[in-house]
Amino acid sequence: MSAVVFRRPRTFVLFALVLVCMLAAACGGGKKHASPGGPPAVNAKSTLARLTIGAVRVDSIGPNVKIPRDTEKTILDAAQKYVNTAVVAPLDKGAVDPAFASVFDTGVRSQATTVDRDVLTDEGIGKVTSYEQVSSPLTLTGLADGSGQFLYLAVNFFETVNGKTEAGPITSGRDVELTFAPSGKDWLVTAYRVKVQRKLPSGATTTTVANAGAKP
Amino acid sequence: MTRRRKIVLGIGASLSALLLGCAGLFGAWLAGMHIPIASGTPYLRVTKLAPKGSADRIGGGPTRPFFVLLVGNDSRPGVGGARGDALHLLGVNPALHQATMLDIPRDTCWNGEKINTGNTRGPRAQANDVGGLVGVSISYVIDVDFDGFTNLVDGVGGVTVNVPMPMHDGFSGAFFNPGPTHMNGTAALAFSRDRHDFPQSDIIRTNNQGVLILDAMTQLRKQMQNAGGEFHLLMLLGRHAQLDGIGVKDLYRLGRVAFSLDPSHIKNITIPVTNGSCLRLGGGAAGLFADFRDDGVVQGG
Repeated sequence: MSAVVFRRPRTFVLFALVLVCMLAAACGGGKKHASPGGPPAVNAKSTLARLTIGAVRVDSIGPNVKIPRDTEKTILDAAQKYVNTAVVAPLDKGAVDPAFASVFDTGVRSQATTVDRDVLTDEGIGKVTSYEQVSSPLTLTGLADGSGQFLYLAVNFFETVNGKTEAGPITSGRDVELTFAPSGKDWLVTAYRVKVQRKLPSGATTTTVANAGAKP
Repeated sequence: MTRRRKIVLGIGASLSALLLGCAGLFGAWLAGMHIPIASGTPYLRVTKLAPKGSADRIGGGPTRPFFVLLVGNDSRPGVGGARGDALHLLGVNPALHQATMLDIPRDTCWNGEKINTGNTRGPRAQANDVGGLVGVSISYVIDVDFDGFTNLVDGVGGVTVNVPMPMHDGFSGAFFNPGPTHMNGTAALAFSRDRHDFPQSDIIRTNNQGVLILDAMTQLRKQMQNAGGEFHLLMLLGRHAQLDGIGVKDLYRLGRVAFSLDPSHIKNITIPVTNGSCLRLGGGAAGLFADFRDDGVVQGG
């Protein structure tokens, strides 16, 4: 094995600069391809806050248990996926992200993507020129069965959007409760309660939906 | 072996056994086993009657009506048999977001005997009898005895009942003035048992039980406005309900459907019966049942 030897300092400086540029490009200089559950795809004129977990409460039919860290992260990512696909994507692109449907289990998916879609998503607002989106910390609640296995995990949070459209300013406040149940390796939304209040150039509205589907 | 040596050896052996037991439990925990803790005292029994699978879909589908029989049995220390002395049939229509409760006097005649004797053969037999009387297929039976009822009411922090008339009955212990009254388990049981205050005896008592059930539903509905409230109630049920053919997830689905209904819009109807010791169905019963069984809701006045 032979070592690279720089006989002249200027050559070393040039090599170091090239190396730094290559590293910068590899680490973060390229175009971001955010997954629906990952960091939100940020509009050039937007401010987004990533969800965080606040209070945690567990009701257990059996032994006292805590929600495992990896499960907490899974739920946090799933809630973030909901925000990214249902709220952020319409504001950025004018349409709900196709991955929106995959947030829900089969018991509620049909309702979530049709009759409840207007409340669950900001598709009705459409693409905006700029916006700021903030969320309260998630309250995480769990129900464990007699053996300590979690049957349901629910998150409650409030997210607000302040933005501008060509027709004027908009605001949207959404009170969100998503109840997740395990589905294979994933946790999918099996029930929801969502209330949204919007102030749009066309007028103010308040709508609420609640659904728990029909199948376990 | 000296006495002292025996004592020391005994204590040593006990400590070793305890240590081994703890080590075994710790090992099981490390291996990922969940060690169940014994459930609490059963307050009630929930039985799913529909064939496996169909009841999971709540009566066959999200839009189809289903029927739940609520039974208060008279089993208590010194009184065996567990007759169905309080019988209430709840019809729920998820599509219409409506429901109706039929209150069935315990002495109603069915197949030549009082209908409450069906419960002595178990909740399925009681459901068959009530279902046969009204002409519906019952999917769930919720059965509670005196102690269970008292503990259940205390477990949810009591219940506020809008007492419909003055009650001063030493037999049941019901002493209430009309109006909203917060009751603990013992008081709620007394309210539910009082029949000596009324000329129509069990007919009024049966209707009053319906009033209590709907008032309790109103209170529970307020507690179930978010997932935290739902989970807490499910935890209570999971600990204190004996589940037959039904799981906690089924209870969650049923609860979401049941508590999506506004109890103030649920009709509470005592079925018409004639006088006598074994009460025959009165005029209008056939029409009432026909109205009820087609969609779980009585539309007529």
